[in-house]
Amino acid sequence: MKKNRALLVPFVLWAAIFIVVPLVMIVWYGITVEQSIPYTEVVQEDGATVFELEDGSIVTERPQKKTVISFANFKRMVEPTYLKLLLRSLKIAVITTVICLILGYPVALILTGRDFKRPALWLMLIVLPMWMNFLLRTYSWMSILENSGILNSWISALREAIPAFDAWMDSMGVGKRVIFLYNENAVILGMVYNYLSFMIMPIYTVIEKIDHSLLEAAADLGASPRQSFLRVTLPYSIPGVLEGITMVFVPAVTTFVISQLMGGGKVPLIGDIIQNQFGKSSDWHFGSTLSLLVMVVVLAFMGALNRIDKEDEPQKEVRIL
Amino acid sequence: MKKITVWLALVALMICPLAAMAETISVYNWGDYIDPVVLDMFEEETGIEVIYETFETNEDMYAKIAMGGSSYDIIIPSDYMIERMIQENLLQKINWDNVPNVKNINPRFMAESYDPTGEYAVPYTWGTMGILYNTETVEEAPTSWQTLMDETYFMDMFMLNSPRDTLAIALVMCGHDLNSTNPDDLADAKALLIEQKPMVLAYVVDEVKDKMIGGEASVALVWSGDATYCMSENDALDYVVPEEGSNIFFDSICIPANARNVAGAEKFIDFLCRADIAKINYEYVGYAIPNDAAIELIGEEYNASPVNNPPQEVLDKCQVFKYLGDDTQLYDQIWTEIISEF
Repeated sequence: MKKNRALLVPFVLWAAIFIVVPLVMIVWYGITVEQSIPYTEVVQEDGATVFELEDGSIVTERPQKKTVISFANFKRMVEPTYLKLLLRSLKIAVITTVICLILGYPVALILTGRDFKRPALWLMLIVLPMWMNFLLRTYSWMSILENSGILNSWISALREAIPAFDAWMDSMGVGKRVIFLYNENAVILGMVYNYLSFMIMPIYTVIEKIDHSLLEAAADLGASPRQSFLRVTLPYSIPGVLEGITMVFVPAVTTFVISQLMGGGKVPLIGDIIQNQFGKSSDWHFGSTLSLLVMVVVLAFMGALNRIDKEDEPQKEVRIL
Repeated sequence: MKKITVWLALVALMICPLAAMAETISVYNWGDYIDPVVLDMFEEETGIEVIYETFETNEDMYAKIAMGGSSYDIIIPSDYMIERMIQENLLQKINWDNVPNVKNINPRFMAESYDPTGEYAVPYTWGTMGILYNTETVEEAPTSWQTLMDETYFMDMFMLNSPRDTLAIALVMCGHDLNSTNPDDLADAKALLIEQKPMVLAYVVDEVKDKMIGGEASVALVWSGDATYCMSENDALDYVVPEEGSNIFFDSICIPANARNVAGAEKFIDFLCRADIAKINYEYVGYAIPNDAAIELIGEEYNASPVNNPPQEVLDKCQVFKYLGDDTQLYDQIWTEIISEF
C-alpha cells in the first residue's frame, strides 16, 4: 500500500502546482480589488513634483495602488448585464448539448450494432477531425460560411445559371449574399461541430460494454427490439450519456473563441467577457470573480448530473419483464 | 558506454552557453515588429547577443513586467501603457548622452503627453485609427466618421472588438474628447454605438485583415498598420483618417526599471534610431516612423503613402490615448453593455 502511495506523488505535485495554486489565486483575485489612493500632483517652486493626498499630507513618491479585500466585484457580477450574458451562455450550451445528443446517440448505437461492419474505421473517421486544432477547423467554417465564402459563391453561381432560382431568391427577400455567419445559429453550429465527438465517444464506449447475453435473454423472453432497447440498452447507456453531456456542456458554457469567430463578436458569451477582463480591460480581479461564478454554475450542474447518475444506476439483477 | 557519451553530450550542452556567456540584452517587443536582420546586424556590430521575445497586447506585456520575476532590458509599449508604467515606477529614465542618434527623431514626436518630460521613451512607430474601405463598393471616398452610421453600409461594416478604440471613435463622433471619462459623454457614445449595432456585420480584431482583403465588407474601422498590410494585399482597398480627427498612437522604446544591462539597452536604442536601421525596419514592419533621417533615406515612396501622411490639419486633431486608470472599468462596463445588447 505504501508503495502505491509513492506512485501518487507525481500527480499530487502536479495537481498542487497546476490546479490548487491557480485556484487559490483565482479566489484571492476574486475577493480583492486594486484600490487607488486619490492624490493631486503639485510642482513645487524648485521644480520637483510632489503628491498631495486628500488629507493634505504631502509625499514625494507617487502613491501606488493597494490590493484590498472587497466584495465590490461580487456586487458588480450580479448586475443584469452579466447575468444576462450568463443566461445566454447557458442557453446556447443547453441547445448545443441537446443537438449533440440527438445527433450523437443514434450514431453510437448504430456503431455498436452487431451487424455493423468495421466500426473501428467509422470511429476513426469521427475522431479524425479532432486531430486537427479546433481553431483551424473553426476558421474553415468561417471561410465556408462568410459573405465572401464558398457557400455564397456557389449560391451566386446558381443564381446566375438558373434565372428562376434567382427570381425566387429575390422574392424571398434574400440579398446579394446570404449572411450565415455572425449570429447565434452560427455559434451553435460551430459548437456542435467541435463537440459532437465528445458526445459520441463516451456513449459508444458504454453501449459497447453492455453484456450481449442481456440482450439475448431479453429476446429469448420475447421482448421486441424496441422493448429490449428501452429496458436494457437505454438504462445501461445512461452513464455514457451523462458523461457525454458533461463533456459537451462544460466547454460549451465556458468557450470564448468559437463565439468570437463564428458570432463575429455579436454573440458575446460569459467566456468572452472573462477573456476581456484578462486582456484589454486588464482587470484580473473582476475576471476572477466572474470565473468563480461560472465555476459555481458548472459545479452545480455536475452535482445535479451526479445525482441523476446515482438514481439511474441499473439494478444489478436483470428485471423480469 | 553509449550512456556515458549521451551524458557527456548533455553536460557539454549545458556548460557551453555558460562558457561562451557573452554580454546579452533581452528585448520584449510586439510580434512581427522588427526585421530579424536588424537583430543579426546588432549582434555582429556590438557582439551583444539579443534574447528576443514577443507579446501580443500591451496588457500581456504589462502583466509580465508588473508581476516581477522576469527582467527585460528593452520593451516597446504603446503610449497609454507607457504613461501607466511611468506612474507605477516600472520604467527608468534614459540617459540621452548614450543615445546620440535620438537626434534623428522628429522633435514633434518626442515628449508626447504620455511622457511629458521626454525622459522615458523613444518613439519607434506611430499610426492612426481610420476607415479602411473597398473602392469597388464604396462610390465616394469617405471623409467623415459618419460613414460608419450610413445606412448604405447596413451589415456591410466591421468595427473593432475593443472597448477603448471603438468607444473613442464614438466619442469623437458625438463631438466629445476621445479620452473623456465623463459618464454623460460616454452615455452619448454608448447610445450611438447601440444605434449603430444592427448595421455592424461583426466586431472583429485580427480577423479584420483577412476579411477586408477577401472583400467581406465595404468599410471597417482599423488601425493604420493593419490598413497598410491590407492595401498591399488588395489594391481595391484604401484608407482615410476622417476629418473630425482620430486617435494617434505611438509605440515607443523604453527601458524597464529592473533592466539588467542598461548600457546594452542604450546601445540597442541608439542602433534602432540609426537612419539605415530604421529604414530596414520600416520596410519590414510597414508602420509610419518618426525618424526624419530614415524618411529622407526612403525618399518619395514614404510620403506617397496616404497611411503615413494624413493631412496636417487632420493630424492636428488626432489625440493620443491617456491612461484611464480606474476608469478603465467604466469603459469595460459600457462596452459589455453595448455588445450584450440583444
